[in-house]
Amino acid sequence: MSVVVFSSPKGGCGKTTAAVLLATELAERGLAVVVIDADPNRNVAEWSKLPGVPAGLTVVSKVDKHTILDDIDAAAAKASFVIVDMEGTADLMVAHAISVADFVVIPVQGSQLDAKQAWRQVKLIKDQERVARRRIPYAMLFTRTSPAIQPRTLGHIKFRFAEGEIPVFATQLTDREAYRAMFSFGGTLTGLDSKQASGLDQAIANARAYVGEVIETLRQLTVA
Amino acid sequence: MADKERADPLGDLSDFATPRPLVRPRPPVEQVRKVAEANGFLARTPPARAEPASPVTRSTRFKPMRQRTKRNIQLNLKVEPDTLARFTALADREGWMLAETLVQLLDAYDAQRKENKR
Repeated sequence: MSVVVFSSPKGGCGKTTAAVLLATELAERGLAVVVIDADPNRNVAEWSKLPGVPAGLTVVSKVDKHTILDDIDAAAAKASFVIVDMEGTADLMVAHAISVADFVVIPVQGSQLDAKQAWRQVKLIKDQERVARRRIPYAMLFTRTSPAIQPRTLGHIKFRFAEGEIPVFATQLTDREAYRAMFSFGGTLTGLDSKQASGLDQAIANARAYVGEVIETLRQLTVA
Repeated sequence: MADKERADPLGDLSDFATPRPLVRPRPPVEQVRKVAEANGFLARTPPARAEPASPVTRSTRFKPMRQRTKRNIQLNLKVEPDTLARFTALADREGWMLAETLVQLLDAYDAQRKENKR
């Protein structure tokens, strides 16, 4: 059982997309997955009302800072994966969620604005490690990147992260119409057909590479 | 090439399949909050306010009268000070309300009249 928290104080950086991709890929393989939608915008809850949600995937919403730890515990008792999608603000609830997280994913677009807020998230994790008296593993996930080119700003941010020895996913979630279509039509990537979104195969391969990295990281953490 | 199934790149995930309760101890909530606030991660919802043990309502603030009467009409009298003094002294002595005292006096008067007629 693993608790994976998606968090960054920056809104629109791809937290919900990354969280739902992970959740659906795992649930499609028969694992029990609970997504805790801790964002008051309730985007995951809205998506889950559309058809095509895999069996074994449950969404819990209406959480607040008083209930989130109990909600995570309750989900952990029945699921193989607890995936927490936070709101894109510097909210106290984030601190509570990461305090019990197995792994924190910080989505970041290739912009200075995103990188600055992602860094705030890292600083909070580092400070919470002292309170929790343990290492809280995390990694940056570049999102909405171009499948073809690497802009200079993104290159610079990657360089700075490397300098600061900040863990970064090797896979980037590229900017794919299929990811938007998933929230528009509902269900999973594999449930879409090529008329609903172009580049579907590339999106599926991209999502699997990213999910594979999450799995690999969690396995290494279990061994360590 | 026929539609050959590709191997799932995620492979066997059975090692994740067992749910188990979260064994990780929760860090002290108060310390988590302090560190979060120091980093500018603030509570957006106000702290839960403890409910008062028994909510203050009109019915508990003002105890209902123990004695309910049908006295609902005002009687204003102008009297001499001595009369008032005698009247209130009688009420005090007997432990009667003023209105009750008046009824007692009227009853006594009626009883007296009945006695006298015999």
